[in-house]
Parts: sequence; structure tokens; C-alpha cells
Amino acid sequence: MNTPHQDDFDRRMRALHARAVDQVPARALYELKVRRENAMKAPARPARRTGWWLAAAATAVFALAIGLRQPGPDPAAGGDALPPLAAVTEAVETLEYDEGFAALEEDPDLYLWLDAQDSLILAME
Amino acid sequence: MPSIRIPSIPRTLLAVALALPMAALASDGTAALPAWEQLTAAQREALVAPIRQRWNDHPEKRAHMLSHAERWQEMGPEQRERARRGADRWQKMDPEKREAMRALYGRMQALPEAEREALRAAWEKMTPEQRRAWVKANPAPPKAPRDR
Repeated sequence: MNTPHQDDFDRRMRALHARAVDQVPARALYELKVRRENAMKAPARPARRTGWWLAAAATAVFALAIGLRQPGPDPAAGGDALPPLAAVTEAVETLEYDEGFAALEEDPDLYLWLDAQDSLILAME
Repeated sequence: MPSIRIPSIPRTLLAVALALPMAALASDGTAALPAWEQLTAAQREALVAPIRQRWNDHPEKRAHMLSHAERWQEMGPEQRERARRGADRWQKMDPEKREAMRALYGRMQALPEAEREALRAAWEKMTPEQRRAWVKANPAPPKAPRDR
């Protein structure tokens, strides 16, 4: 049985989630739709890398919510105030930026070079 | 920016917008999306809109974006695949590693092959503190559009 504090936390997180979903770009929603449709058609298989950023976006929103709300003070004092939507939006947009624009942001020859640098990268692990 | 060939921008950006995400989807085997010509206007808009916004929001980055897009176009399929793997690595790096890789890349481009190998060997033996000091002493050169 939840305490009033837990119920309030749950309500706030649901509201935050709903607001965050509203901020997901149309492109991401379209990709989700396509992937969901294909997943229903295709036989089950392990998750692949290209879905990582959607999971990362959800994780970032959730982590942000947790970081902002728990184990913080009793929210009663803060009324219905939610974490700033701009912060949530920024987290989502940052991930979208990383996924979508890295190709144009850096010199492709840097990426080409990076692919061959196993030893350099391993040395930094 | 008189040096930018404006008429080629839509073609170049569309090609990149199409090639990268579509290739990722195809490699997953999860999508059976058609070629660009068969996409709806809304689908094309969804793909292009982020790049257009990026282009309009950051005039200072336009030369780089165009230059990089053209370089992607120049690459053959095998080179693109390797560059995509490199981009995947880049995505997984934290800012400090990215800075180090930029610095190393910049330095190695300026060195003859023998010295590159020497730097590579030295790098592999450095402690993290020594690497940080090396990066500080050998910062990545400022970004400049490819000179072609």
C-alpha cells in the first residue's frame, strides 16, 4: 500500500511522462511506429543497437525525474510544480541531436580514422 | 559565405538525411521503407526537418555541415561503413575521450607515417595523467571546412 507521498510521486511521474511524450519529435514517433509494426510482423530476435537511443531517451527522462524528485523534500510545499519541461525537452533533444547530427558535426574522416584505432582506444579503457 | 554552392545544399543534405538513418534501419533488418522517391511528402519532411532547423539555427556551422555531407557522398560503400563504425565509437565516448581523439587525429594527420607509429606506441604506454597533459599540450586544431 502506497503512502500519500508515494501516490503523489507516482502522479507527478505520470504527468511528467505524459508531458515528455508530448515532446517526442514526429520523426521519432514515426520510427517507433515503423519499428513496432515490423516487430509485430517479424519473428522474435534480440534487440539491436539502433534502438539504443530511444531507450536512452526514456532512461534520460526517467533519470532526470528521479534526480529531481527523489528523495527530495515533501512535494506538498511545491504544489503541483513539475520539473521544468524545458529540461526534459533538452534531454530528449540532446539525444536526438547526438543520433542525428553527429554525421555532419564532425569530419567523416575522423570517424574513418577512429574505426581503425583499436589499440589507441583500448589503451584508454 | 560566397564559397558555398547553394544549389547543391538540398541534394546533399537530403542524401545524407536519407543515407544515414535508412542505412541504420536496413542494417537492422527491421524496416522495409521504400526509396526516397516513394516516400510521402510528410515522411520526407520528417526526415529533412531536423537538418533544416540545424542549418537555419547555426549559420556558423553551415560550411562544416556542407563540407562533411559532401565528404560522406564521396565515400564508397566500404568507406562509409567504416566511417559509420567510427561514428558509433564516437557516440559512446565521453567528452574527454572525444577531445583526446580529436587531438590525436589532428596531430597524426600532420606527422609522417613513422612518427605516427611512434606517437601511437607512446600513447599506449601513457598513464591517464600523461595523456591529459599531452592533449593539453597538443590541442586539436580549430575546425575548418575541408579545403577542396
